[in-house]
Amino acid sequence: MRMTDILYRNAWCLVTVATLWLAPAGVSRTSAQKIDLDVLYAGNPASERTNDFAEFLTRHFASVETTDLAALTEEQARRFDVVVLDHDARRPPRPRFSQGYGVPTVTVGATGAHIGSTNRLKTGYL
Amino acid sequence: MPERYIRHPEAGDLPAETSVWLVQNSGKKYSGAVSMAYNFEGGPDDESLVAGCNGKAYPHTAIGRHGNFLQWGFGEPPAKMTEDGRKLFLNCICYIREFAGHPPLVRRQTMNRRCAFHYKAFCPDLVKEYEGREDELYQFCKDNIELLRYEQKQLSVNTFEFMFPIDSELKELGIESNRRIDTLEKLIALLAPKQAASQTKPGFFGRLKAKRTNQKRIKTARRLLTRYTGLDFETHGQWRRWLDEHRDRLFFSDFGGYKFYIIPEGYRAAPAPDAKSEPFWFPR
Repeated sequence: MRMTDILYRNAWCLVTVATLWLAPAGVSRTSAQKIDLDVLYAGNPASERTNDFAEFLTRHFASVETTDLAALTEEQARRFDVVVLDHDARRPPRPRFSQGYGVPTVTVGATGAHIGSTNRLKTGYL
Repeated sequence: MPERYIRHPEAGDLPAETSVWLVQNSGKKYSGAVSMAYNFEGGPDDESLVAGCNGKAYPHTAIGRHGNFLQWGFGEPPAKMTEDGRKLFLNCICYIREFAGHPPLVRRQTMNRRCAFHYKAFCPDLVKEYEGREDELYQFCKDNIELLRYEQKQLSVNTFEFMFPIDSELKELGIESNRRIDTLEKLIALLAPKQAASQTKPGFFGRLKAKRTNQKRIKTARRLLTRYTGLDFETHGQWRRWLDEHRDRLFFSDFGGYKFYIIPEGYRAAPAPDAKSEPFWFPR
């Protein structure tokens, strides 16, 4: 039985297990209690949503930058430890990445699912 | 429990009520996206981490990983996440960091065989044969799930039809699955020269018949090996060497086109599923 099966079957302990399982191994906090990662948030630069994400991420990570998802390039992404892709438009930009793109990337919500579909990922839309 | 979950053909015995963990306060019934749980097929590059309450069916994936991509399916910004939701979001960012330089090993080419049940996309010949006996058709395909393949016919630029036929060639050879390593073993064994000798029958016509049968089996075995590996070696020895060299790093993917793939050296692979366990969302 896979770990995921066990998780699904025990939904009430999901939070605990997921929190432990996803514990940030190998990631340290700086003296200011921030997580020592450089994070790029790519979204809609003119939106309140971007401000919200940027403010939240800045509180927790050592370095945070924001950029326009529509203008994101792989070269730009490679300068960061993790990239977060998000947008609030009904028809969001859907960047296409090369097969060898290996920058750790978090895709958010429906925009993320569209990006997953565009890049033929298992995390694409249902 | 959402009614759509209970009505869904894959629902099984879901309870009327269940506890849920709130990740966000969106004020909406659903906010975000889920990915199809079947796509997370236990490959070395995928993990379905958290199911999400959704408008489609339990247990589609709200948080899942494919290579260096992690989908956070919840749609609300941090201000509308719960405190626990914010913590999990931070953990997801830290977790995916561990997969730097580990891109997905397969990309979407086809659908997982479980979609045959989801979309009721069985082979038309079988549908005709089992007309009016849907339960029996369902059971027959479930019994033969290990032999299902995917076929797609392009109808126009934007439309296509698909179905999941049973691999009758494998079945005729007495092979039970198209996705197990021992299937490759059996097919390669059919190419071995000694195979011809072992089937020799007495008499001229007996030997001729045995020779023809064996040639046919060899041809079929080669075609099947190419179908499921994408490779086309000439000799038994070449296939043998290839399998011996890569056996420990082979995996099969429905999502990636019903083929065996090789896990690259140094790739951080997710734990392999227990072959004997049946995912609980198996179609019922």
